Amino acid sequence: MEDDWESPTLGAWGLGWEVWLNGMEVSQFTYFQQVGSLDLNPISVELTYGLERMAMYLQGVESVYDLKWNQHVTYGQIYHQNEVEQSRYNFDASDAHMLLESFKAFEQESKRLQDLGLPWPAYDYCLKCSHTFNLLDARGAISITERNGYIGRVRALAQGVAKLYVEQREQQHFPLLAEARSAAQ
Amino acid sequence: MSTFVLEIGSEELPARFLAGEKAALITGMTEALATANLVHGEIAAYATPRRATVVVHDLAQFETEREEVVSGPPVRIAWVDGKPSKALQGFLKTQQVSEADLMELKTPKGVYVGAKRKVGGRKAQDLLAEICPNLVQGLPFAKRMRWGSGQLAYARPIHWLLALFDSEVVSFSLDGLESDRLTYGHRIHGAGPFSVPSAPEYFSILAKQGGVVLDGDKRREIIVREGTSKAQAVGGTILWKDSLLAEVEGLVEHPVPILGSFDTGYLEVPREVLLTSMESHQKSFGVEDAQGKLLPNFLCVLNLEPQDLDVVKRGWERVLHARLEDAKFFYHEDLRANFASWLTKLDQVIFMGPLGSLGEKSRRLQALMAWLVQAVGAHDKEAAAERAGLLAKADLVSGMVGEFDTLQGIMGGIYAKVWGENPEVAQALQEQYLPAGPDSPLPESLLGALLSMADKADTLAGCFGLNKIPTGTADPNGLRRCALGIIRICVQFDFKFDLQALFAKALELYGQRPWKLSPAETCAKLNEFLAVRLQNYLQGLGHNVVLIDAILRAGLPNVPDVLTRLTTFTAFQAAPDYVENVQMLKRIGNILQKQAADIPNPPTWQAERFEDKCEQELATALAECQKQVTHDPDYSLRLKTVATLRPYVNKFFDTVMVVAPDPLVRQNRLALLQSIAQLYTAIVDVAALQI
Repeated sequence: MEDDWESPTLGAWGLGWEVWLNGMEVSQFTYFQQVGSLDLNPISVELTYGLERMAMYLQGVESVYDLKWNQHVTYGQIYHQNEVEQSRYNFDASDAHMLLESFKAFEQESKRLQDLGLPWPAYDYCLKCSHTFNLLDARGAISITERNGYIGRVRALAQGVAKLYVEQREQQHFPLLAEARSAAQ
Repeated sequence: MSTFVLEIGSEELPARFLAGEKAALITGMTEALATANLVHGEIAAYATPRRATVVVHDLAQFETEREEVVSGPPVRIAWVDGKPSKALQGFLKTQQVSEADLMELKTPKGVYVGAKRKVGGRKAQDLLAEICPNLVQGLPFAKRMRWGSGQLAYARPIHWLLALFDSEVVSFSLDGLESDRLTYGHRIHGAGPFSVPSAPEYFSILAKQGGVVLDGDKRREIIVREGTSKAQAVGGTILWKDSLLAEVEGLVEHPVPILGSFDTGYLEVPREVLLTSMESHQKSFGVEDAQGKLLPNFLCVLNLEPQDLDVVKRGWERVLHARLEDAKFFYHEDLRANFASWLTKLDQVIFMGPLGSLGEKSRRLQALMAWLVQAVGAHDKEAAAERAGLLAKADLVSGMVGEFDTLQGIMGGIYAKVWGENPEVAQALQEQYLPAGPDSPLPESLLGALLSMADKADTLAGCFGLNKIPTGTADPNGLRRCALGIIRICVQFDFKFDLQALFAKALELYGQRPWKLSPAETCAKLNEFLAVRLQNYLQGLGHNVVLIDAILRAGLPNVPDVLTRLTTFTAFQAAPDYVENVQMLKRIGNILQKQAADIPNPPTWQAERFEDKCEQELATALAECQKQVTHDPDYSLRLKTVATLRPYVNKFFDTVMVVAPDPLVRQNRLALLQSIAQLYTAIVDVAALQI
């Protein structure tokens, strides 16, 4: 089934499918076209999630929490309490003020690290921003008008990191691509 | 005569692309063969998710040969001492002709050497090798992608290209991929690859060894035939939906319809909800019994023959159960709320940028509905109309519409019924989004029609005020559809009120806003927009463009009026003396336009100023006409009456000079002509007619 994917915060999008198993979506397959708003070459592919759904099928259970984790415990015994608490945190208990301050701090840190030419840690802080934005969004702490502003700020970080990373790889003559080419020959 | 087959094998294309792809293959191939001078028979195209195939029957093996005359140097420099000059030698060489082929060409610029030359005769295979890559790259897709390290952008990654001219491969390459004689079948029932010896054998190999039903019409036939018989087995019929059938047909290469069932407990959920859940999420069809009641069954279409049908069926049933469980949950949650609480919530939902909240929109619709019932003279429905306007957007904050946005309006209607609202209000809510497209049905009830118009007029007025006017093909707010909807409703319900007044009222109800255009400009642009949409609509009905223009130039008081004038005038056009009639009217119009300053207002004439008896005769006949048509809006009678004046008018023009030296005589004559013009100027702008 056609299902394209897009993450406006990361400036990433691609074309692809959701994969059905007897009417149930069990995975998603995407040919990425852009990341950090840069055109990709070569195109990378993402095959994501679905292990639990397929396991539910194989084990014949209706709920993910009834999956057998091994002979002794269920998925629910391991994850259910975590899920409950995280949901409670995401929707009700998170501290919006703390998150807003964190967002600013993470953003500053990512920019500072980019200025130092360190794309990897800068990327970590970009992801922290993205996650913090998701938490704020889930909490309803960001109005519709502000929402686009936050998305734009995370995207700017992602673009900066992506550009820096490509520059770094270029200086190294794209070593993995050269390796892939010689392997192909 | 030969057969050519081109197959583009790819990863699964979106189903919505297939129809356009097929059409583009046929038109693209037809145009390319015409340009290449290759004679051919029928061209057919087929598409499945994993392949697009175009086949050319009865194709010539060579390009059509023909003679062409090419022009060379002027004769005066072509010969030196009876022998070809350097210039002529060059010409002979480049055109590959001999002296015997030469002739003289007389042109306005002088006499030139010319030569007859045979062109064409290239091999079809060579030409096809040039045509194919362009054809593939030129296919129009709404979205394209790149893959691997290639540069080609296509709908999905291409894996193989089969190109056979009879038994010969037509060799070409596309972004590194070489054409060949290999095809691949259905992923499970005949993966292949299969080597295809010749073009005609492609079809049987794909069907028998590949397990692929290539033709979409055949796939649809299988789905409908087998689906119908499976439904009959449970005493039901399938609720086929054309758009879904087209989609499902485009999702499979090997259709296998199966009938599943669900718990009867879900049947308490409204039918529309159950159907939407099955159709939009699960691509499945509903089933109903002879009384039109939904059965606890659904039809889905697999893309393979399952090893164990029960396992597959249980899978589909399990997913649908989860969907229906959600639907049931939302339904019960919604029933716990009420319209009052939803109306409060609407104040928090933004309608569109500076146009405020949906709560404000609801109150505007309430007021606009009050205005509309007056405009159509349905005074007794005022309370119901206002209520419908106020409640129109309430269901947008319901859980069900949050889950299934296509149920907007429909849920409002359902909840209104459950909560004991006036049935007319419920129906209006249900019908407010109709027509949903150019071929969609219209609201059936008066209040539904008015609510649909109110909603569209409000959106149009707001967007135009913000200068969000559609240009080119872009129309993100669906404003063209809004205008067309209003036009269609006016025609259907014979609404004769002034739409300009409706737009002005809708705009006024917004109150003070940060408008980009002044209210006067907004209304002017809206009216212009409506006129263009109306023109478009009338053209779609098959009316002549020039005539539509002439009718609209005479005024747009309301939509049914325009339509009446158009059909009346079309009948007038069919009369044998139409051309003479229009010539007369144009002549009158021309004189009046030139002498506009001298026309008395009101155009009354005085008998004592007539100098010739033809003037009196015209005046008498004219007075008779005026008596007949006074207060009579019958356009047909008016046009017929005007036609009866023709002998008098012609005699008048032949005998007297309208623009007489004596101003009083002149004004008298112009008054006569102006009085004639007044009989028809509200019907048609004669100046815009072509004869």
